[in-house]
Amino acid sequence: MIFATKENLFISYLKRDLVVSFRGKSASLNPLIFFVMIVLLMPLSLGSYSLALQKVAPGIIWIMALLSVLLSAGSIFDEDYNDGSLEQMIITPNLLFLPLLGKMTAHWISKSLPIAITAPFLGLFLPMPENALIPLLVGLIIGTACFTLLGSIGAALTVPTKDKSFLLALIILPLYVPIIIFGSSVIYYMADGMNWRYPLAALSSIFCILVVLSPLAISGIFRSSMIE
Amino acid sequence: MDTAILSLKNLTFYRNEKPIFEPITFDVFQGDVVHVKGKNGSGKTTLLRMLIGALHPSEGNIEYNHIDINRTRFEYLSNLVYVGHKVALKSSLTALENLAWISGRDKKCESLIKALEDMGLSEKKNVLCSELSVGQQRKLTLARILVSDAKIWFLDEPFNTLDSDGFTLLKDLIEAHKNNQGIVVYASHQNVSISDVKTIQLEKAIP
Repeated sequence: MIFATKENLFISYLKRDLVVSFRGKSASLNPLIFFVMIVLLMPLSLGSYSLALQKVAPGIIWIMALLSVLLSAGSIFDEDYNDGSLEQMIITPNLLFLPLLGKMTAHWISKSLPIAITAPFLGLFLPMPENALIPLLVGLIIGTACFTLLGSIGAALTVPTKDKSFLLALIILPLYVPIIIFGSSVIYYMADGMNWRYPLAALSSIFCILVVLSPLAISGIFRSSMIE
Repeated sequence: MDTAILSLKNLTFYRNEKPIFEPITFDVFQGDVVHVKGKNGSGKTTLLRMLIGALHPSEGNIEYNHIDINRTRFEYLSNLVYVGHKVALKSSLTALENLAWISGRDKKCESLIKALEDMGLSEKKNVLCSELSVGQQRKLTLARILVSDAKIWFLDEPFNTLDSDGFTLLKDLIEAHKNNQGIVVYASHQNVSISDVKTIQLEKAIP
């Protein structure tokens, strides 16, 4: 039994997972390195069509961010499953909502937030207009959080499965569609001179729904099906 | 006569639509030590996982103080500690950090230091778990039961990988817990000389 009762469960899981991921530096940097490399290859491969690149740049950055997050979000519960911590978490008397939210937040801070923060700098290479960088940053901060929350549901469903990447993509990618649409619209709205806060509001509302539903869904998955 | 704390009623688990062992009916009272025996693959771990509520029985039910454990989940789970096959330790945390986190106490807490001392791990308290041997990791996992105030212990193959000191220590711990009116249910294929042990023998279900 884990009875981390002195501190809030959210904080204690968040702290532990952050310490674990910062001590294993290389693994937590993988998604970021993948993201930077693949985005930097774009201007090289489309060098002479910089105007075309400028138009598709926000879309490229969003898709690459999605792939990079998907790369890591699928394995959010793997370590805990393999070392037995997941089983111990499932048999805590408390609700799983806060521990799960703590785990997902730690995962987002260590693996997805660096991607969102790096994106505006990479935007300069593509090149993107300077005034699009702030909307890109804000959009990606919320967007990557949504990716992590949704990806975790897929990870929970496939936790005992080996070679799960295809299965995970099949479950999760269709659900990412609205996030991608509203996320990249933030930039396109701005480029077209419209108010970019509208798609951002839609993105934020998706986040608000997910932040409540995702931990509930995952605790349902863990407590009802139970992992063998 | 005492009333049963834990009652297993006609309990079994189906895998591939077949029961993996004959249904078990068994009562556990205060101060009982129960040894779950069976061959490899006979379902010892499955039984323990049903007892801690991590697997739903395919048939039968488990009652804690005469209430189904699904209905008294919070109270039941607050009163048990489970040490499974897997050590549930984070390899990038130190021995002390792992113990502190899992017991929800501060790292400076005396009882944690004492538990590590009792397990012979006081010199290893600031060593990363990845650098501990398998036996030491097992001892660290068992240190959890020292800092826990749970009444019911479920131990899955607790004697595996322990050296003779650890073996004796764990045996003494189980005896002491039994004398304090606690309950210990352990699965093991080793015969351990603990006094007044009740036995659940898992028999392969006849198709």
